[in-house]
Amino acid sequence: MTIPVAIIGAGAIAHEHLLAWRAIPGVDVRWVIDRHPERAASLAALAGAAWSVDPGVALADPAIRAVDICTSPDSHAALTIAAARGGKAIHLEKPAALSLADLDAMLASVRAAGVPFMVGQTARFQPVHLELADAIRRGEIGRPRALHVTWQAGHVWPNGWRAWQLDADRCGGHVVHNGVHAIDLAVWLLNARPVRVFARGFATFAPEMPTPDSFHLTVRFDDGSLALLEFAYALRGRGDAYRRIVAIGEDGSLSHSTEGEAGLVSDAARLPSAATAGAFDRQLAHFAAVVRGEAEPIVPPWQVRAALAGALAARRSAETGRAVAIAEAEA
Amino acid sequence: MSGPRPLTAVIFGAARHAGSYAPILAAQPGVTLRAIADDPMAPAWAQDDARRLGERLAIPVRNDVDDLLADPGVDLVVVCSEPARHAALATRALRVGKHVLVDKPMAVTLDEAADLVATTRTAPGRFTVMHRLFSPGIVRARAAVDAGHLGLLRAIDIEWLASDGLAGEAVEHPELVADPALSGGGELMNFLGYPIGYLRDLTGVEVAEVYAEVASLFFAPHQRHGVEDFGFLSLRLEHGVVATITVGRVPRGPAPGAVAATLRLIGSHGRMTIDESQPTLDVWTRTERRGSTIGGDAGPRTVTAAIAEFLRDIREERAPRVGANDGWAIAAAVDAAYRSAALGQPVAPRRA
Repeated sequence: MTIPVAIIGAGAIAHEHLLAWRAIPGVDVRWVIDRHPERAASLAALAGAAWSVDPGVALADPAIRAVDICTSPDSHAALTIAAARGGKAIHLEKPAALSLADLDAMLASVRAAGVPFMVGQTARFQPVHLELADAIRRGEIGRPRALHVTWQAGHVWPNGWRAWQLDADRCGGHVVHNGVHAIDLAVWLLNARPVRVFARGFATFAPEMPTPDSFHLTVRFDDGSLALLEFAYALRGRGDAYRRIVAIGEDGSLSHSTEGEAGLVSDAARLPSAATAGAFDRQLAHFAAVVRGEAEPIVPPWQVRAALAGALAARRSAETGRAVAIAEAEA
Repeated sequence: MSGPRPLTAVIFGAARHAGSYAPILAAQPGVTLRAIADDPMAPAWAQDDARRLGERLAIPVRNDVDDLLADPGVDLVVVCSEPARHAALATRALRVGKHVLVDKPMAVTLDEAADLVATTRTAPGRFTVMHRLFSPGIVRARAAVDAGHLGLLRAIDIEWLASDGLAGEAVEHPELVADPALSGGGELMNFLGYPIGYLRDLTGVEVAEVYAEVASLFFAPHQRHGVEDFGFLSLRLEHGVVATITVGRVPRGPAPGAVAATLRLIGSHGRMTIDESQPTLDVWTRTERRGSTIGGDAGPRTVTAAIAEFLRDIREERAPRVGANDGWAIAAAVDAAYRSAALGQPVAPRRA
């Protein structure tokens, strides 16, 4: 059964998604939508798809079965609700929304429409995390109680000072739009809800940048377990990357670091770690299986909500310098 | 031929690390380890531990601390009692003019720490508190910082985890690290001074704010006494340097030895990772894989160096690498971590 797909948003992530969609048998990308016509046309040409600046065109196309929302986060709520009303299956880039009120409205409309819905928490689909989650499920370390995640990269967002990632009104700021990756990972692996978050951000290269390029956060969960999540876009070399994760359980620990991996050394290019590569392929193949009714989404709504609540609390903490209880973020 | 100036040492208290410090001390050129001693009023278990250690190491055991303090032939006192008595014993020894090496933590309250620091200001003896700054990985990192290879440090992530050891391998009685009456706190009191010492040594700046999220996650003695065995800390240092510390005792840390200690440094002009268990020589047999850290385990190496260097400090009248002011700053950061954990908010360390 073919799944006709519309990609909404034609930025950097949409490009990655298109490459992944094209590798999945039975998926046909038919529309690319972007408010910038040249971007929409360019990605559509790559896909062999039609393009438009109006998402309504794709949502009104009865042939379209699923939409892949890759726009900046400030547009997620309206697009998700419109897609649900149009009866489309929805794959949504993270962060799902910029407020819990928006997310609740989105989840309600998805529930009412009965459409498949999944937030693209890509980190879950990276091989190291899939295998780490399996090891926890197999009971290798007993009950997991603490998680320490360190992600460092020499990364800058596309479009210089025009990047929406620098604009908290459009994306929640760095602590939200990337923090939600690591918080979601912790929610999933510890299978618990955040109850208190403390976040500390710092700007490495441009002291007056409007959102910190780097941050770390501590999370206390409702079952007493703890996480320390560190995210630094502070490495000097563009394309440099370092990752480490340690899960500590009642009977042992699991650990991984990219340091142990022999890699390409070249001035021209870097290769992604084999421990993290191929995540979009797995993520969208999983979503295709969800659309076909062959799988339940690995990212259930309660975890989407828990991760977003944690990320919004982290933003407030980074801005105020105070630890924030999730109950406060709910208010 | 003249060797190093002879020094006579005594060990006060036989808890925890006395068993490892004593042979190191006794093996140093020119050092006579005269006795392991404790107060006559010390609890019976402490007297028993001292007697057993003395028998094992063939060192005389005495219960006349005051006589030894009054003996002008004793140069150096190494304090290895349970942590709650560290500061008091160290202060007594300093007041009568002895050189003092106190095991960590230097003190379990800031009031005691203040008394001790005040005493060092007028006492003629040298003073240090046990640290791990001579761990080979830390020495290399400090050299890289000093050479300018990292530029200005911006962010530091330290993970310092001990693996269990509560059945006698590392801790002879769990209460020594879990019962506040003896330990002064949980594993933050026990271990946090080490990574705080790393931070101060590598950056050269002071801790300005601490947020601590702690829990009793793994061990029954800690749960029974209501103290933490684990914590994640977020710190702000002067000049906007940020740091995290992961510290505690866990069932099994991610390293081959008893301590899993790793650091990740991000500087303006470079980055560095340190794993105290690396590099290793790996042995692969038909049935197992094992490895040993090249140069030997970091723990014994840094302790041996700390003792040897302190003896040089005494003989050459040098300032110790970790002196009373450093001890205060570390104690104040640990105190701030406890206050933060109780409050659920970040706090600033108290100033001397």
